[in-house]
Amino acid sequence: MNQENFSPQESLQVIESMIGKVKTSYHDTGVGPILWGCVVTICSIVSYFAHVYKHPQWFAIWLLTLVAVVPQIVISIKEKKEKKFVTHNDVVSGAVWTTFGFSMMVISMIENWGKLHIHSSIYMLIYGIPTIITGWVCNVKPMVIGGILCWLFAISSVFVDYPYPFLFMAASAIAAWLIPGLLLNYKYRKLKAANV
Amino acid sequence: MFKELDPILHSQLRLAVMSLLISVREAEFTFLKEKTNATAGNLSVQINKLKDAGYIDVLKQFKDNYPQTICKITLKGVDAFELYVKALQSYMAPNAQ
Repeated sequence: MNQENFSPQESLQVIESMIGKVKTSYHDTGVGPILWGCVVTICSIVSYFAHVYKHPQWFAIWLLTLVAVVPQIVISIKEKKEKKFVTHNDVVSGAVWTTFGFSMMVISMIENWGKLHIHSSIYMLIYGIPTIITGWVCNVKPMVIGGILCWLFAISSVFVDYPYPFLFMAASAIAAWLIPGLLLNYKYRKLKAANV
Repeated sequence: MFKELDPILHSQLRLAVMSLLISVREAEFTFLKEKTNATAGNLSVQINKLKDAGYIDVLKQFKDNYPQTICKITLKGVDAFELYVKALQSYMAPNAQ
């Protein structure tokens, strides 16, 4: 592939074919969204029961979100090593999720150290923001839908008393991360099998 | 009126490399080799030509004790690619002579 004499039509074919090759070269494994979908769902459901059975110590389950950062870092490093190129979407998603991670840390600090009660609806609102941006930028419709559902659950949760908002929170995690993650993983495995 | 096609880009392999790089932020040499099906030697030569023209940046580093070459399109490269595509369009236009 190094002819100098080729027609404009052939030039366009080369451009089209190469851009197409990039598009089909990478697919998200969905492991990250599955991990966080499971973690937040578990934490929310345990929090619901902690409230129902009056076991406030069960709220410590949220420490699981700190523990889950470790496998997330391992997954990110592994995926980065395997990937031979970086897309513009990767950079945007990386920035958005890093900002989200720090925002969650800050809001947790405000809640714990400031002894403030932050309604679960605020968390669901924040869950929706990076989810919708990622889904929008990377063209992953289930994530956009999941993010919108987070916002709808956020609004709905203000009309119910505690501990029910925790169930809305679990539903948000399932809609925004677990289901899109499973769909992405299914697509990834299907494509991997087709390329073997 | 036909516009002149940039001779640096009007080569299949160089155009393929630029088309790949315009779609991503940066790519490894091995990725470019795999997608263009070019030999390492030929690809190296063409990458150097693009680099000399200022169309791409080439970063050589080590990753897990192995040499790694990363290529990234420059702003000049993006402009040249856009002009090349516009020039191609002049050939494709129905009234082109």
